[in-house]
Amino acid sequence: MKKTRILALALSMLLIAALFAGCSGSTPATTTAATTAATTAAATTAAATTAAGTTAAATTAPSAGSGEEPTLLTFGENLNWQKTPCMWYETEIYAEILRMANVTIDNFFLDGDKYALALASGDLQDIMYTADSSKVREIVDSQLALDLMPLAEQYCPNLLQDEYASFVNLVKLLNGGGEKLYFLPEHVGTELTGGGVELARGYYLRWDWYKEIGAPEINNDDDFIAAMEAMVAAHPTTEGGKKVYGAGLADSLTNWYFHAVFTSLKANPWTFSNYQYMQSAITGELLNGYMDPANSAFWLSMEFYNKMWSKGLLDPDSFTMTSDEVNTKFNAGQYAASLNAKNYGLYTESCKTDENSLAGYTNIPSPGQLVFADNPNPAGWFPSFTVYLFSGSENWEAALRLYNVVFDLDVQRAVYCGFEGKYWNYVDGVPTLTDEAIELYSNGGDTNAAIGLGGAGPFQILQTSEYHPDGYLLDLFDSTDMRALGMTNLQKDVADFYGVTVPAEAGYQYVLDGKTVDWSNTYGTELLASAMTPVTTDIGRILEKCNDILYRNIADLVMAETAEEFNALRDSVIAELESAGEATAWEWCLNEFTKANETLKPIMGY
Amino acid sequence: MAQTAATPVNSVKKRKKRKNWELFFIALPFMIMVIMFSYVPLAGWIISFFDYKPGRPLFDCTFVGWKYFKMFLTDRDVYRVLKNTLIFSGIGYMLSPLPMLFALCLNEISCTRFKKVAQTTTTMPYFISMIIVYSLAFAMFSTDGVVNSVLTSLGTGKTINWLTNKKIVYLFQTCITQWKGLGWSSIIYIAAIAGIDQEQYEAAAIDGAGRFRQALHITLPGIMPTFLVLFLLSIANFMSTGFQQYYVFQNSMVYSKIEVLDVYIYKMGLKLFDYSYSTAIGIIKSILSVLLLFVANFLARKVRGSNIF
Repeated sequence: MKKTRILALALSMLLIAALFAGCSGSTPATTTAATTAATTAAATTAAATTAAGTTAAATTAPSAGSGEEPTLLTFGENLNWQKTPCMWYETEIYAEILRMANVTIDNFFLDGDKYALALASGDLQDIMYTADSSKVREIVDSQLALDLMPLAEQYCPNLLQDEYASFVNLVKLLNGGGEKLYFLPEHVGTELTGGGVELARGYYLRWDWYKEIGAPEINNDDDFIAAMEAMVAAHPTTEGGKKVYGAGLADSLTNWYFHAVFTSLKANPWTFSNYQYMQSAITGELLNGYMDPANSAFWLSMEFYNKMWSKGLLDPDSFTMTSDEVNTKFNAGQYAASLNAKNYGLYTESCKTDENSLAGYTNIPSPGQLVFADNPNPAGWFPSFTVYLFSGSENWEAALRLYNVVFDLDVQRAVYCGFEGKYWNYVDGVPTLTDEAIELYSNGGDTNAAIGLGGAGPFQILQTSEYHPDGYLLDLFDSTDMRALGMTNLQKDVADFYGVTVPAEAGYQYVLDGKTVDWSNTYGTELLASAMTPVTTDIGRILEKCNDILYRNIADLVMAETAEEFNALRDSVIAELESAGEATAWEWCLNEFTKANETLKPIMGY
Repeated sequence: MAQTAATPVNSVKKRKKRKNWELFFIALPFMIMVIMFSYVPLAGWIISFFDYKPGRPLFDCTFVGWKYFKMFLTDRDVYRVLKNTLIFSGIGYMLSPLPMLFALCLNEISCTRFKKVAQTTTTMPYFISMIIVYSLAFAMFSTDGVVNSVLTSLGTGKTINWLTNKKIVYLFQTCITQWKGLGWSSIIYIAAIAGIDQEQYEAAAIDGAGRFRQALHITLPGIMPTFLVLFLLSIANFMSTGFQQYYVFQNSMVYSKIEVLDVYIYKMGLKLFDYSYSTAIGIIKSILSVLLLFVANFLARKVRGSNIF
């Protein structure tokens, strides 16, 4: 009895001890600690601030501490970088870059909810690389990102090179033109010159079925729907007996409104994050996508989906599916078209049984789509992609050391082509790829994925179209002939069908003929957003309510049986948006857009 | 003589005191957990009075006073969300006797093995994560799901998308809730039934009462106090319908009817980073719940003649 009592007491004490042990743990480093450290470091530098157009700073990296153990850096991302056949940081090229910086990486994937939680708790990784422009205001206001300017000269001098000056100057505008820089550059420069290998965004149809129905011209949404209808009529079920639809999509507001952005509307969807105010790629003016149905990605997309629904082409599960469920249906061959972006799953699955398969989706050249080519990104993909160092990180020095290595232009070439001597050499002063590199690149697959040739992963700071100081492209693979070498069988077939070297040329020809537009005479997809202050909490609250109103009414709009019903519903939604205070948000956003325009015009020479 | 008589009394008191301390120490970890996870976080309520930005010291943020509480009263979405919450809670109350009736039925099963199997299988769904439940529901009830495949093979020619039907969303979600929680909720009633004096059944059998009358006149009245206590306590949870189920099952078609208060608080706080406003909503919900608890206690005194607490 006494032993039982002693045992009960001992267990109770153990429980209490375990409770406190479980509750303890590493507390996130406070922002004040790192800021103090950073300020101390800044105070020891000779000159902490930089002016616009600073000439190239010293390219010698701060000491990596030879002989020291590599510093482990945690890397938080929500882009789901490569994991097979190895992690992105384990590829031959990236591993060498990390060795040069004397760091190792521990990667953390953060989905939307996890990232929101991490921001709320202030418990972030050393380096954050996220595709979520809606968080910029949060990051800046909460001082979660490290101010890089006091530290750049001593710890990351390569950031101050001319190649990154446009990014630095434009992103500083985020803080009203002050001297703070919270974000790191990536994908700076002109994106997809000539459209790349295959046009991104627009009309995607399943190529084998499209050829079967005679490859009709696709000039607009009606042609697109007619083609889907013919393809579904020819293939009503899959080989496994599942019903085939024209298309399906995962249920999210962005998916529902995105179709019209690159087709009937031709506008920049990233002007104001995921809100409906978009800059027209044709006129350059700001379009009110909430209240102006004729110039709205949402309303034009709803008309499109309504037509699809009336013809039985839209998968009814589109109102409930997650992206995984959509991919499952793509892989099963249940869709004739791929909406918003190209699906790769079907082709990958079909090639497993037939390496010459043409069962995959491809962009159909059309004058009815906004061609994703020649996209000027002087500020990179910021703010759609936000890369920053956590202000509470204890390893900020190592993180800056890593990025100093990454910003080196020799390393930037290596990111795409590997290091000199192994995959390319100077032949009579011209950087020339080796035969081995060309073969690896054109064969693709796991072998190349393990090396990383062609560029993949988060260290693509400059676009492939940018130049190395030796006068040649950073990415030696970025020529039409090299692009052609990397094509899949499907892409080759498409190129042969249209009589071009790479499929993108067929779609790009419409731009050259003046029948449609690309991004070359615009501010690009990111520049305006990078020059505007992020949406405030109050305006964001109004716009989120507006988005809520749109989202709640999607199903009724898509399933409206008559034009009268659709129009009546549209009018009631617009009335609801009005009473939600949309006019206040529009006034604020238009003001910011106008200011940003005036700032950028002299910079861009428009 | 007096000392001899006093000694056993003192030793009883000492034993009782020692036993009380032992019980206290056994209960102590759980008390600490409740305090740490239920009461200490209440200090965070202060952020509802500031325009709070995480990462910044609280008192560096702008003090806004009652702004977010006033916003709650003028927010149009709140009324829609509250309506959904009250509907789901109301349906839940109407179905609250179900676990009790289920326990009654289980008690009447004479085959012990079957009774155990029935109880286990009905309790198992409680432990399944709502994410899995959604996946199962999608596999069963989507356009290409099992149910529609059966309907199509029966020649009905029509498919029904149960997950996106606004007209049946309340019914569908209630069925999910009951399927998941019925077995678990009935456990306490099964325990209450086990506590009923068996002599009453014997006496009733002697008086000629069959199984039905025994259940009606002995079992049901025996577990009614348990039902009343649980029912009255659940009044305090009137505003809390739960989060997970309504979050995973929401989609564009049923969104307006399935968004409940807990989902709205989550959306405001963690998706829109409106921490202060979501905290204010949470405070209002907590205060209303406490008030309802006192109402429940008052009703208990009126109905049962004694308080719950």
